[in-house]
Amino acid sequence: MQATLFWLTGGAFFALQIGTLLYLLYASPSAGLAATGERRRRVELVWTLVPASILVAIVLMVGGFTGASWTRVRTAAAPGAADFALHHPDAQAVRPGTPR
Amino acid sequence: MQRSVALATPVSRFADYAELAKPRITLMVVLTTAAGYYLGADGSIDLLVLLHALLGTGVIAAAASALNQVLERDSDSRMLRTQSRPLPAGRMETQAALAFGLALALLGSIYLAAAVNVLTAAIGVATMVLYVLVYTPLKRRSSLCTIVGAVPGALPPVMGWTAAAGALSAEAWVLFAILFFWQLPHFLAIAWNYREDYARGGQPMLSVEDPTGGSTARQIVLNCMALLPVSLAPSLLHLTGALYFYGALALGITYLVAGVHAARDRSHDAALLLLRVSVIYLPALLGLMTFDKVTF
Repeated sequence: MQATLFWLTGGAFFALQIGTLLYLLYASPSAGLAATGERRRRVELVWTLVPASILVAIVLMVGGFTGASWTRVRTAAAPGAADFALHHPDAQAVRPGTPR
Repeated sequence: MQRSVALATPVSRFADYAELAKPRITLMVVLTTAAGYYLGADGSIDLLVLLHALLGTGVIAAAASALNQVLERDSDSRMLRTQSRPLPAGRMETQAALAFGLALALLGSIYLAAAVNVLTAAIGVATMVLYVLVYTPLKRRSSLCTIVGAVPGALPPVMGWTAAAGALSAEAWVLFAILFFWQLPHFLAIAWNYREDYARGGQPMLSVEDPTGGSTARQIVLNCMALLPVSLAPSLLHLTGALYFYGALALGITYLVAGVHAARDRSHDAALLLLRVSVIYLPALLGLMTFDKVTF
């Protein structure tokens, strides 16, 4: 649930981000940007791209962390767990390079 | 510019030095550092190291504020909001303020390196350099100064984290990102309400270059939106629990609603409401974070 909400809110940000970028790149000058010209458009593009870059970095960190955590969960032994081995008379261990 | 300096009593002199250190901002810096320290501490809190970290960070924040006022004394004198500060009001000499700022900078850096650790001191020095030598001069050139200024503004909790943990990690960068995104709507609300004052001071903030308020409105909403997932990340990193997660979600939605309202209304009152919500948001979020910290 928490991860879903994280990705949903992140997705909503990126949707708004893309909408803003499209507006800044393709909006008609009469839509309100011409008054202050091309320089302001470029400045706002930087304003828009900086948060996206930071959020991408955070998403990668969270994604990497949750991935690593899941690997630890899958491979970790429970407290007090005993080691055991399975033996089968027909089992044969084949190491790489062993002639068959 | 040379100004005549009025005769001052020791008490008013002390008050002027205190004002030069911007006590409210310094207090906010110290509080975010304390939160970073608590979150970065593995197990018990070393109160002595915490005290050293808070003192050193506070001194560095005061130094940055003093040096900022030295560099901005001329534009401060043209702005209603800042013209009563000690330097533009002529209550203090520039050399005295410069010496005060440099002495605090040196003292804070050495103190942090000696009493906490070198990494925290290095981040402290980077914070000061960014604030004084990059953000402050950029204020006269471009509205992008607000984004640059949000970086040193977001580093104090990272300093708290490194003071406790001794190293940087994903969690420290998440704290950085929370403070970074929180500041932008907060400052844009201030910049909107004081846009005429900033124009008088020759500081081209986004709201100054944007008479319709369209750009300011878009950036307020975008950064409130970015803050929402970033503020949820501590629970996904297992730094905090479910209480924090849902509390942060509620706070983030409230901040976003105030941001959308300010963006649609573009009025003084709506910007003031956003500013007030932002001032409640941060302590509430950090309080939740410390209350619901997951300990192993």
